[in-house]
Amino acid sequence: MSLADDAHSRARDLDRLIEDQIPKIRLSSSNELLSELRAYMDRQDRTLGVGNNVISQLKRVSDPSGLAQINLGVPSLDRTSSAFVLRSGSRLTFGISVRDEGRNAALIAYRFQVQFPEWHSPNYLRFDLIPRQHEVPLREARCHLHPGARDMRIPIPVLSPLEVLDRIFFVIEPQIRR
Amino acid sequence: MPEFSSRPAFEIARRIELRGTNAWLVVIAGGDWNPGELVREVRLVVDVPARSVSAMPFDLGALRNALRTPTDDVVIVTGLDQLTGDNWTVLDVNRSALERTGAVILSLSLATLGPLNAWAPNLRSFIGGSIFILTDDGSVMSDDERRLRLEELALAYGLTDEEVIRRASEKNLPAEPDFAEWLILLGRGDLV
Repeated sequence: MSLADDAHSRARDLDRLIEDQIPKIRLSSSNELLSELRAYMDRQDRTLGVGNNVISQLKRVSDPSGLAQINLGVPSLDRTSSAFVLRSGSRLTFGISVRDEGRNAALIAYRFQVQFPEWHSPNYLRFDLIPRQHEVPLREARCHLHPGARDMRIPIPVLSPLEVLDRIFFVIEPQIRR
Repeated sequence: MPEFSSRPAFEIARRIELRGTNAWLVVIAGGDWNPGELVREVRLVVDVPARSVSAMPFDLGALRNALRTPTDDVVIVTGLDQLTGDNWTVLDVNRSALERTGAVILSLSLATLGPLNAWAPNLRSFIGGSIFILTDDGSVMSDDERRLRLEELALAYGLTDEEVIRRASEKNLPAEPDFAEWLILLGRGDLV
């Protein structure tokens, strides 16, 4: 096999590992998960002293098949849509897709996007869990970090929604300074 | 009838946090209300244990024991709409037996405020102005919000809802979180 073939084979193996991790992330039902996220975001907002209206920013919708979507703000890069504003001026949005299964929910997909202030490079950063395997797993692993630079995507382990938020609030946000 | 403030469970939990854990509040809720929602919000927002206790069948000793075991969590008392005037009087006379270090939330209907005021004026003084009508938290996306979000997705990807459903049926959609959201918004989560 060529070097590239080997790389593609390893990427498929890695995706299988990530695939196995996803069911181990057990979430509360979408209704309860929204409450957990609201309480978390509200406490972060009060700690930062920023004054976001978390209640109006968090929305949930469910469909007849049992899937549900929880959104915070509007994940857009236009800087005018609804977003949770961090102390640095960065704008946080997310969308989480889950399947309700009784008192719990299974994780299907998510996108957490931090859009940094205009003076900051890179412009944004995304944590993505895509809903199924990409046709080229080497280019885009099932769970990856998009560093806001062209089409680069770095594989990461599957984090729960609160674990992603922990990294954004405690690891990334404190680093955003002029 | 005075006007009471309408608040979702999350904000009522915030009030407990602001007022201190030994607050007494009244929450006016409909008959089919499940106290589990407020229990959950209190646990998450105030970060203290919370539980619900029924006042029925009425037994002062049992209620006192329930409020004092333990005494420092947040308790939501339900079943108060079934109390008689005599029951309220017993509670009022023995109000010191109900005092505890944790907050107490009395869950009752609007109609039960009358008996509370008439038969238990001392208990009523514990509550003061902390009477809230429980409302929905508004977290369920409205039809307008859903339509707006679908328009944003259509603009961002240059696709119509019909094209997204067709391509999902053909298993020909990009593996993107936005398309999972799009299908859920269209009520077609079965295609994710």
